[in-house]
This record gives sequence, C-alpha cells and structure tokens, in this order.
Amino acid sequence: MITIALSKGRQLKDFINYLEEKELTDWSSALNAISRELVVELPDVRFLLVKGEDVPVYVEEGVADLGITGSDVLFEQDRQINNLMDLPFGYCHFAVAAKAPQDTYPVVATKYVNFTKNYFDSIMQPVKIIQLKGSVELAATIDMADAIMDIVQTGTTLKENGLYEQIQLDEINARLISNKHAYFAKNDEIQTIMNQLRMN
Amino acid sequence: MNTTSLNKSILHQKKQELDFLHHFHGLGYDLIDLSAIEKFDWTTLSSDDLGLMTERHKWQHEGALYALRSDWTNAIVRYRQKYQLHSETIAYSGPIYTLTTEKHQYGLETFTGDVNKQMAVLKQMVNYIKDTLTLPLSVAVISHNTLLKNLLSETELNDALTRKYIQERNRDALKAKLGEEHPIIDLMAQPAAEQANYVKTNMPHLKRHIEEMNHWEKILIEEKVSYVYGDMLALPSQSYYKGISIQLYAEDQVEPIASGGQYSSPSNAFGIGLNI
Repeated sequence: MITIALSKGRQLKDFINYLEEKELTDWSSALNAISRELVVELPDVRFLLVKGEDVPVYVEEGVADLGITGSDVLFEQDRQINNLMDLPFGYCHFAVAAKAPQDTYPVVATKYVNFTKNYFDSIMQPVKIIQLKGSVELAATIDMADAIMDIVQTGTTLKENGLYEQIQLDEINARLISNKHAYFAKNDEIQTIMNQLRMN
Repeated sequence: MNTTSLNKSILHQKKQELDFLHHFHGLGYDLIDLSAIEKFDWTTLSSDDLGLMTERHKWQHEGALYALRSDWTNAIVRYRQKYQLHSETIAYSGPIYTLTTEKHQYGLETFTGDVNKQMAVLKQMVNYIKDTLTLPLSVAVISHNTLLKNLLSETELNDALTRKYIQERNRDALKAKLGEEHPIIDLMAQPAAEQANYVKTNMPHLKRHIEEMNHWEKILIEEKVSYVYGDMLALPSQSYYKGISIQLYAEDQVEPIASGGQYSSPSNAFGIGLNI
C-alpha cells in the first residue's frame, strides 16, 4: 500500500484531469467522487488531501510515501525529501510585481521569504522582506512595500490591483516527491507509479 | 497508554538495552559509554564538526563550545582522535539528540581495515535484528561513498546546488545545471534497482566499487534480506565516510532500523547502529 499526499483545490482538479489523460481511471473516479473527505482509500493506494504547503511535511515525516505539490512550495521549504519528477500541470512562475518599474525594490512583501531572500542575494541588492500570509498585492497597492514577490499564472489578480509584473523569475509546476526511505523501502511500487505518471 | 502498559513499555526498553549490551559483550565486544555532552574548542573545529553543528543542540560556556551528541559514530571518532582505545570491537548504547528529536541508539564498531572482520560485525547485527528482536528485514540499501567522486568534477562535487539536486534525486534540475550529456543524468534515469547494473555495463572505471558493493550485498542476500538495492547516488555526510554504507529496513517500516558503514578516521573502521 502506497500513501500519496495531494494538494487540495485547483491542483487536485489538474491532477484528476491528468489521471484521466493517462487513463488511470480508478484513481480519477475515486478522487472525482470526494466531497469533503480528507482520506481516500483504494485497494492499492491511499490518498491524503492536505494543504499544498503541508504536502512536503507529510512526506518528510513518512506519513505519506509520495506527494504532489508545486515547485514553489518546495523552493520555500528546505525538506529532506526526494524531488523526483516534473508533472505537466500547475504551471505558473515567480515574479516581482509593482505599480511601476523601479531601479531597486528595497521593501518587498511576500509569502515566499526564502525565495525572495535568495533572489535579492543573487542580484546583490539589500532587501527588507515583509512576510504576509495572503492578499499580498495589497501591500504594494497601499505602498506598504515597493513590490511584491508572488506566483503569477495569468496576471489578472495583479492587474485588478493596479500592479504589473516587473521581473519574471523561476517557472513553477507540479512535482512528484517521495519520502527518502520509502523510495527504497517501497521502490517497486514507487517506480510503477513514476512510470504511470511520467510525461510522454 | 495506561499506567500498566507504560510501566511495561519502559521496563521493556531498559531490558532491551541491557540485553543488547549483554549479548554483544558475550560475543567478545568491549562496552563503551561516553558523555552525551561533547566539548569543542572553537580554534580546532573541523569542517565535519561545523557541518554537523546545524543539526545539533549547542551552547557556549566559558569560552568553549558544547553540543549534545547527535551521532554515536561521530562521538567515537572524536574520542579516538583524542584518546587511545585498545579494543578492536566495541558495543555502545545511549541517546542521540537532533534539534527536534531524541532517539536511543545501540551500535557496534570495529576498528580494523580487515573487510572480513567488518562483515562479521554486520552479520552479527543482522542476526541480532532477526533472531533477538524478531524483526524480519525486508530491504537493504548499499551505497559506496566514493562512487560520485568518480562521476563528478571537484567543482561539481563541492557545489551546494548540485549536491542538493543529487540528494533529492532531482534529475530535471540536475539536467538543467550539468547538461543532458553528463553521465550522471543517464544514470539517474535508470530505476533504482537497475542502477548498479547500468554502472557496471556503462562505466567500467567504476567496476571496482560495484564489486565491493556486490561483496557486501552477498552477505545480506545470504541473510535472507528480501530486496537489496545498490544506491549509486550517495553523498557522504562526513568526510571520513569513504567506503561502503548500508541501511537496513524492517518490514513495513519507512525509517531504517539500522544504518552504518565504513569510515576512515582516525583509522579504517566499520560501524553500524540500531535506531530504536
């Protein structure tokens, strides 16, 4: 039995669509049928439905053998996991967004503190980072910050808040991750799932 | 857990620890006990010491640095760098602490470069797990800590991002960093169970390492471990791990029940610890 931690919400829908595309209908039907359940059990696999940011925690702790979450989450958390392969959904990218272009952005609001620090260190610019849990756009709209660092898919939310993408950074997509020990302890099963989910 | 079962559990753990020490003392091992608090001198900290510090509880007192033991083999290496230890084989038990956890570790060390004697220690540990702890071993992972030194340049090997991608088995990121033609990229594309054969066939200069791994693998197969994998992508956590490294998994367990390997400080040795 393999346990897989999945992100709830949009990424779950994308995963179900991908399963249908790959004709893994046992899994897609079971996941399509859920309403508020957090655990879905099938004969050979158990799915845990958790918050995207918590997927690496369940996997690192060994509660889940595998997990699917966005690479943005993995960028931000330094977890002892195997980051096994790309999955073709959940595409977006990191971006610095502001009302107007500036030479530097001394104050940046974000949920992604580590990524922001690494980026500004890499361009050798000092930055004050304001950590927020949500509605990050507001910080730049009301001038609490010069810019925000966030993930951007279509840019609609930015535009609605009077912000524009200034610097496009790393691409993001869904990743299959595994627990370090389960990778060997359950290698046969994990290898089978990797082969089933691999992009053609 | 009610009081009765808690009492039983504590007594069982203490008895298990004592049984372990009695068992291996009976097999000729000397016993060792070391303080769980280790003292360091700021001016003589090695890069290995520094590497472990991020994972340890540490504090400063009267100019010296102190840390809680986080790894028995490391503690024994440091002890032997400072004091003479006349025994060839030792057994130990005691707590180890990481930043967030406390574990009890029981282990064996042999201070010899004689591989047959090292293998005898592994066999005795495997038998102890199977016969005394009555835990069937389902999976073993064997790696060679110098394998990657032969596949990567020194710059690549010392690059933090390259090391992270290898440790995470992140082939996509490694391909972007090292290029599609790099030999490690093809190696990583092979399923874990087939990587050893791939190396043997496609990388003849690494044949010696694979033969060494096969030698150890044979013992574990003889001891009826169900699956034995060769891990071609191991990066040693300490510079003195220069040879074989082994992890043993009990049935239905995700964390290894035992792990250990060959090391070379201050002389050639082999150690294996049980994580209870």
